[in-house]
Amino acid sequence: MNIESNSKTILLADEDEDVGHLLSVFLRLHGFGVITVQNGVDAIVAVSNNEISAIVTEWTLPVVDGYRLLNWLREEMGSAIPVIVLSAADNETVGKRIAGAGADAVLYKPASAFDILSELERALKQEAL
Amino acid sequence: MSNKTQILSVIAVLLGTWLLGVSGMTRLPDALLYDWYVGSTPEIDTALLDIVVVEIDHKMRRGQKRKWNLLLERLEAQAPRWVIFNFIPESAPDDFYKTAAGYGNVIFGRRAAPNPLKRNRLEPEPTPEAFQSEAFPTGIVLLPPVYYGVHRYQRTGLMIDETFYPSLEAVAANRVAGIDEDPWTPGLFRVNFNGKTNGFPKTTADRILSGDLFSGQIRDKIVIVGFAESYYDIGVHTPVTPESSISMPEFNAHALDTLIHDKLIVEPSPQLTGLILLLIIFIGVLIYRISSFQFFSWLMIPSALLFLLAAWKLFVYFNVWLPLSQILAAHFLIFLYLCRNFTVSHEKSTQEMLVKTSAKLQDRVLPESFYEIKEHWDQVVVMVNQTLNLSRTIFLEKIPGDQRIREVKALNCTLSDIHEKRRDYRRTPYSNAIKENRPIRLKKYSFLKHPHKDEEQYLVPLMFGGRVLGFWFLGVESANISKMDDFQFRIVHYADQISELLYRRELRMRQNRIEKRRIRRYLKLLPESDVYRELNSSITLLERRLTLLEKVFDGIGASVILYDLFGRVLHANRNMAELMETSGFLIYQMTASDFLSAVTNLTLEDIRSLIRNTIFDRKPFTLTATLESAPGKTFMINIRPVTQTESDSSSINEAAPFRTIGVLIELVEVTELDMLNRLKDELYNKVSHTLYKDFQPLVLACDLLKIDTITSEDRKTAFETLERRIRQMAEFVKKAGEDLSESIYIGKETAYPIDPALTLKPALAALSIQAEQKKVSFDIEIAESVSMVRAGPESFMEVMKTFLTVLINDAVQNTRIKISILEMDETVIFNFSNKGYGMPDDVFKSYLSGTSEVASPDIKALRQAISRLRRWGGVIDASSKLGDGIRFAVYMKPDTYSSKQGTVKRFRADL
Repeated sequence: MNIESNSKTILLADEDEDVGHLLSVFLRLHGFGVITVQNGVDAIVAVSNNEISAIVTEWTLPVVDGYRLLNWLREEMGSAIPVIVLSAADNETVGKRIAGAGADAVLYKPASAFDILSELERALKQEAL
Repeated sequence: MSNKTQILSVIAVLLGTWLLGVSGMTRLPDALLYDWYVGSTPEIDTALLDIVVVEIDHKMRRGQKRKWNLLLERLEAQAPRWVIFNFIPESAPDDFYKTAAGYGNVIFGRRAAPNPLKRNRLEPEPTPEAFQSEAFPTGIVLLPPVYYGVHRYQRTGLMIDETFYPSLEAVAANRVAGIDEDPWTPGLFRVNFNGKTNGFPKTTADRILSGDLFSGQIRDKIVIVGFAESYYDIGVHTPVTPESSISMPEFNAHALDTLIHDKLIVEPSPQLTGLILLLIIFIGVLIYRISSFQFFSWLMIPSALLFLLAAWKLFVYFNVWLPLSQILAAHFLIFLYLCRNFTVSHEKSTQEMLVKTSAKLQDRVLPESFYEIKEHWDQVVVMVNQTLNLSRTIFLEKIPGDQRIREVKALNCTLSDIHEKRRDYRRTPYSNAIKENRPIRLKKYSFLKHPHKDEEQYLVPLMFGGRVLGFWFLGVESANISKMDDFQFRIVHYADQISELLYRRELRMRQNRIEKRRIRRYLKLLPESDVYRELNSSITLLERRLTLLEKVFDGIGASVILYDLFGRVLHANRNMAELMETSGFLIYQMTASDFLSAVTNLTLEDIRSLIRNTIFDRKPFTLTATLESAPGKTFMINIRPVTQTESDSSSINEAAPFRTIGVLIELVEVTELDMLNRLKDELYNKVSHTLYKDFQPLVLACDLLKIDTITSEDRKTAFETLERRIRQMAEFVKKAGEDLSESIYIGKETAYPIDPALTLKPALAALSIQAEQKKVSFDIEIAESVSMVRAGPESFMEVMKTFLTVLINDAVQNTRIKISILEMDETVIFNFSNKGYGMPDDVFKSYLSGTSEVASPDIKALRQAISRLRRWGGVIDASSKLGDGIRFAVYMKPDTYSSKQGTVKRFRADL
């Protein structure tokens, strides 16, 4: 788990280390604090122990996948933290399932870092409202 | 046999039997039958007879002369109708004749004696002068002709010098009838003895002379007076007295009785006899034609008895004597002829059938019986080499009466390759193999002179029923052994089969030798003709082919049903019958339309159109089908016309007058094929999925590089990431390309990237019925995205089926079996567990590890499944608890198609 301090902290959950590292550098450059994890369990721990402003998560996380993570956040924790889901499966069924689980947005891989940033900012703004 | 020949044969039978009678060859049997028939006629009351016989003792020949007068006086006093003397009393006084003439009812008989003065020419005996002066009616007294010791006939008279002298009986008959002139012509007539076994009323002259004659005894009767049997007057044998004889006057009485009461026995003329015989033959042939041969043959004896009975009736009531011997001869001859005709035509038909069958069989491939072929070892070698991939092999057998072994058949080696010391079967390694009764592995250089590198050698005893029939040596490359599951088990299996084949062949050859022995055939009354044996062989061959075709039909994996043009079932193989029975369909009562309607979703109109196109346009169709009784299974229906070829249609085929013989419907389960197809689709999806994921860091790196304010360290990291990930992706794409282009098929053993969740579904479908019977359901949890694993596609499904089968069989009713598939720490984990009876864990583990002998098919299958999983790099954790159930955990390395490469990091105790 890597933590870098800033005003808003974003949790990045992706089993691909390169994705976590590159995206965290990008977000840091845009003024976000970033926590990176590589599986769903670590994501739950991070959310439990830190002030997380938003989550960017891969849908197919190991151990606890994106669906179960969202379920935990929304059903058990009652949290409204904005969650952006990154998925490699671009099809309607998966999209519906992700939306049904409570995600705020879904981006299909390979998603541009700028698109991820836009969705994040939009979601945070909406949450602030 | 042609009709002409048949007619000629019948005529020959007719003529033959007719000539038999004409030639006199039937006289003796006829005579015997006649005598028997006479003896069996109903007896007539002697009181009703109107002839009385008076027998005179021979002493009276030369006795007192006056006795003759007294005798006549006493007789005439009782008012007889006629008094017939069958002699002229030599010692009678002259007035005797005058007195006799005075009565007017006396007839005398004269003998015909040879006149030595006239060359022994027969002449009526001279008469006394006193006799000559009276005009007595006289007849010639003739000895009846004798045939085979019995007097059955009498003459009507005697021709002497062209003058006919009627017999005494003929003259008497005329006088009784009131006829003066004699209408008789020379000839013989049968004396009618019917019903007169007790003979005629009889008395003696002595009794008459002594006054012992009551009034009613001879009143109005015909009295025949003659000498009794004596040395001088020999008796006559008649049909009614075959063991004894009667006197001449009594015979005269029989003959006279025949004439005066018109009881002449009538015999048919030769022409009439011919007609009777023709009728009998005709009736015989008619019955043969219109009825079965069995009925005809059964009729032979009863019909003969019928003839005898009819002849008896005719004889007794109508005085007709039929030529019985000829009739019976004709009857039996025609029967024999027709039997022969039947046999000949039967055999001819059989021969024709054999020729036709042989001609047809020549066009067919007929596998010879293993027991009959000479080169049976060739067949055995081909069989084992096709499947075991041996480098070399040799079959050895014992030399009778010797301890050495000899080569029977070899492949890539010969007997000379075996060390000389290793050719005695009483010594090692043969003795070891016999003792252990299983394949033994041979040490290199100990058996064959030139062992191959990396070759393993085995010696297998071929034993059956405790007898050693031979030995089987085999050499196989070590690499080939590792490719086969249970190599040892396979060679034991083959050895058992070969041993049994050899034993049965030996039995069969021995039996054939015995059967062929002539004496056995003779004792069994088997004909020498080979026609029936050949027919039997042909039928056996046809039966074998039919059985083989039926087995092939049943052995087809698909369920097949053949309908004729009218939609009726011609044949359904076993699979179809079982499948339809499970589904509750009565296929033999369903037409083709009904069947298609039951298994497809087509409308009736569509089905009619489909069948129409199949029959008339001869178009095949393929559809999907579902069966409610087989949920989760996917079926395909192939509908094809079955047509005659040109060569078939040239021959008359009454069962199939049209070009299209019928419609063949195949119901093929394609669940596994469907799974395999989807494996490739799934792989493609997985490859795409992985590529999309792998592009992500590239895109992020590019986006990062666009930012001017990144540090040089971050820039360097971005470039390095790009380079590294592009290289990895290139390798990945290459590997994915290889996998995507590889062909996958049912039975493929080599590993292929598979989605484990995809193989679970057909495994569950295959066990659905079993689970339902056990009332067991499934709790399935599969992670959202699980990496592929590398395994044999169908084999992996079989492995899952094996685990599930064990769990279902162990489970308690109304419980759930838990299945989960997830990925954790770069390991794909499969968990299977149940709520069941279980067993002690150490026992369970010993079964699986093979340290304890167990025959359970489930455990054997489990061992095989574990062996397969290990070949694919999997690790298994199996445990059981008595009263709790069984649990399996399988850990497998994810395949290339995950974003992370790695080895299995965490696992439980290895088996």
